[in-house]
Amino acid sequence: MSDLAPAVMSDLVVAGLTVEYVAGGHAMRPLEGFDLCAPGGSFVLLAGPSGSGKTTLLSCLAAILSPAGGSITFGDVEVTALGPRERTAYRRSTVGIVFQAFNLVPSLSATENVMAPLLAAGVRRAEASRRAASLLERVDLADRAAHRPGEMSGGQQQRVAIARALVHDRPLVLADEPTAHLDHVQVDGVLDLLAGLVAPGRVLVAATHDDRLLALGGQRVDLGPAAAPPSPPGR
Amino acid sequence: MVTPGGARRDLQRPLENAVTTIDLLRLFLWVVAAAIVGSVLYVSALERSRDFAVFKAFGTDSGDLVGTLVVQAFVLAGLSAGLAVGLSRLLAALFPAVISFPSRTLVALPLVALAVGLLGSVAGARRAIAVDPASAFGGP
Repeated sequence: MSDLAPAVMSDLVVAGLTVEYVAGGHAMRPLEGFDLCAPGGSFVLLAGPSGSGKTTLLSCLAAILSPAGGSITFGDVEVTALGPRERTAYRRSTVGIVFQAFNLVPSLSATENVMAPLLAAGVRRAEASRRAASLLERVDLADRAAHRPGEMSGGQQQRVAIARALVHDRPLVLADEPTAHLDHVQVDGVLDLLAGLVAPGRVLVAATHDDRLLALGGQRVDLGPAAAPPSPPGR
Repeated sequence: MVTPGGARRDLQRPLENAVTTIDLLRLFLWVVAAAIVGSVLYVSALERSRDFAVFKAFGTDSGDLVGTLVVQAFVLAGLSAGLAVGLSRLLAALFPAVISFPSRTLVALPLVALAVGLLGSVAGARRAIAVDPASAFGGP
């Protein structure tokens, strides 16, 4: 087992997921009756054109967006049945997210950025600092621990973001276009790191257009362009 | 027959208008202080909308984000009150007349400043609560 593996084994099951929203005055349905089954330890790659619902699906898996229909179950938790406070607690305890734009807090150092989710979860500062230092060492950035995001390259920032997503040993890691803003040299380091995240007990779901990420293997899911919902009967 | 109290009131009568004007000015300046603290915090909250979205996406309660803004407002207002006390002492020494500072003023100033800070943090707090964690996704 990888030394970054979470403690709890969980399967991810998505059944009949439908998401609707209104954009530009038109109702859109980026996901309709979407199904997915990913056992613990699997790597799911979401591929498809822009607007096909990849980020929407990640938002639903993170319990940020509530679907119009269907269900998401992770382990023994039915995510779509959670109330607002439970969804916040679920994200805090279960989900790690790697964002396309890194989204590190510019005024905080690499260590402080990794510590932030731990402090928000009530972990003591000394323990949070120890775990952040350990994670930064794992992503090969121990020597950049005191640097702020503006002083690091894109690849280094994304590795800090990956360390932040893993700091709780979360069993569900979501990555939204993790290589989109990296040059080809930086991409290699991030790809190695992502490949190392695939571990028993963890489900890694990554949305990407990047063929190099798709080449890592895993369960590929192709999403189609968003469709307008069917008109109500009689119209 | 003029009593000492009557003499004192008579002496203070020409100052009544000036005292009323200064009291109104002081009230106005507190309102301005609340507006300035509020503006600073609101702009700060606007600039950090993406950070708030990220923290919410990681499962931070909106209440915790609001708490940090309120603490920030208290610190800002408290430091301003401290600076005001220091400056007033300095300027009083340079003023060509005796200026007294009643002790109740020194106690009231930080308390009013904290209330102003709390009031000023409302707009920023509303902004932090309104941020959608889904906005953390997507490009820069």
